Amino acid sequence: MKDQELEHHLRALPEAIQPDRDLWPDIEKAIASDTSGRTTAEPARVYFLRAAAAAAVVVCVALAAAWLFGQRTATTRWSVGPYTTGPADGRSFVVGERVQTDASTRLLATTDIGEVLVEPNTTIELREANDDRQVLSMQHGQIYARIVAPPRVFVVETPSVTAIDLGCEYRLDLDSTGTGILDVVSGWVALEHSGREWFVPAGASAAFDGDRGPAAPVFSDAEPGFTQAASRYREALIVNDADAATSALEQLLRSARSFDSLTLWYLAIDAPASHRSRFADAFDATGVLPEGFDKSRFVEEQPAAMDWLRLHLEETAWFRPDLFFGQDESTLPLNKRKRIKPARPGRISE
Amino acid sequence: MRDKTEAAPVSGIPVGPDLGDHDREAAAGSSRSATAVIDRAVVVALQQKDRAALKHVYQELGGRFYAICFRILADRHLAEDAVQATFIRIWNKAPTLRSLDAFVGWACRIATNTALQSLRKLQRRDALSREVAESEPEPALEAPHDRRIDLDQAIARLTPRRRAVLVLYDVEGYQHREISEMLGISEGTSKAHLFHARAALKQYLER
Repeated sequence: MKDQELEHHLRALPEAIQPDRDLWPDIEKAIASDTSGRTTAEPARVYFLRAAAAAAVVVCVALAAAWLFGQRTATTRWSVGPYTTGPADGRSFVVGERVQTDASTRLLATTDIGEVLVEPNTTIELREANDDRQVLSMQHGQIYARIVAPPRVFVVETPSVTAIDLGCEYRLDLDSTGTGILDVVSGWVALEHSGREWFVPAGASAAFDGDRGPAAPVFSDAEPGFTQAASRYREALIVNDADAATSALEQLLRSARSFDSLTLWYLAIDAPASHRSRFADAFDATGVLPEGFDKSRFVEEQPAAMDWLRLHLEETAWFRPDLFFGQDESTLPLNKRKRIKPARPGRISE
Repeated sequence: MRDKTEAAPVSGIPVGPDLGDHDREAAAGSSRSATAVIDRAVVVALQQKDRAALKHVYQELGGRFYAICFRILADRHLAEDAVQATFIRIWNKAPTLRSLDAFVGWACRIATNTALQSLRKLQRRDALSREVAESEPEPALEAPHDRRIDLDQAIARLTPRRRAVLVLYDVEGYQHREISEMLGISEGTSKAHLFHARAALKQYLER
């Protein structure tokens, strides 16, 4: 039998197979098991490796629902206290107050929408504590935020970027020059700088600095060569080094996976038109473009087309269910959690 | 969990698609998704947590998801569980879906990822995750009892990784690059698994 004949048989396999029993009652029961109508309960035989992360999602959604239905409290109180193995009995943390950790202490700032682990050598200030907007200012150091609020309620301002929580968990690392990095553990976080936003999904990181804002987000499991090329490409565009940009572009496109269209899309935004066609071809080659998508619209940087493509990619190529719901560390205390992966995007200032 | 409806534009790009219906219809995914079409109104209702909408999706796509999961997992009960988990994820994730016309492709991708996740867990649990040597012979495939070509039965007898690669490539239409990412293997390994899987199937079918 030839391969073609086998392929013919395989292609002729039925697209659908009806299960032996009706699965709907179990699905309906699982969904109904949560009184809010929103649940992340898994079926009995599906293993519960991410149970705690799922629970966090439920809490997040439930709080969002409460918010939407006007059940929120009028004011939001924060407290802060030493972090040992869990939430401590903290004292009140009031707007305008600044707290600082030394090399050997951690603090836990808590509120009704989540908690923020303040790592050693970190300075934060509570700027706003309204029920629709809660703002921390971070001067330097590292925080780990786990937020269960509706999107865009919890915000961390830094000297260089603003991190806007879209739900639910991330780490922010910042030095005294405003250079830093965002690691998203679950959900999405938006980094805002000079009126632009970079959406960083779970499993991805984005480096940033004071002058130039965020670099393109990079999935943490990207090939090191791809990550380095992304940094080199951006640097080359900034210093207007065409040869270096072309060289970096070639490496980028050689090692890009479909997930890496995340990085490519953001790099393409700032790329010259001559390079955008290469990016468009790379999207095509990695199979992430929807059939029939007119690449010329992307190459011409037609705003609607570019943003439409981004929204499409966010829900297809960039959506990684294993990562979106968080890592398997969700049951660990905040200070025991590790970074997602060792691969890092290069610091912009390097 | 994500809501970017009020997102600031990127590079001054106004948020909001302005493409024709053709482009929208084309957004159903690059692999073999499903011939079933889910009306936009159903997707909108699903995003608003309408159980009747989810049931409609189940009626339209349940068999499709089951086919994906069964072929990857080769186990009826595991496939049922994976389909159930798929619908729960769809229920939870649907509110974040922005490209309504991409729903079917998006949902099929969730079914595929859920099945692969289940396969990985199964491999870990049953110590099946030990790398199968590419030269390892396929378990003997019995000849069909009759002349009827039962491909699904033959596929189910393949080793898990070979089966997954064959289903994803030959049945679901994914490319080796995508498969390598989904399974955490190199493209070369994906091609090798496909080669051995096809060889085993051909041997089976020629009996």
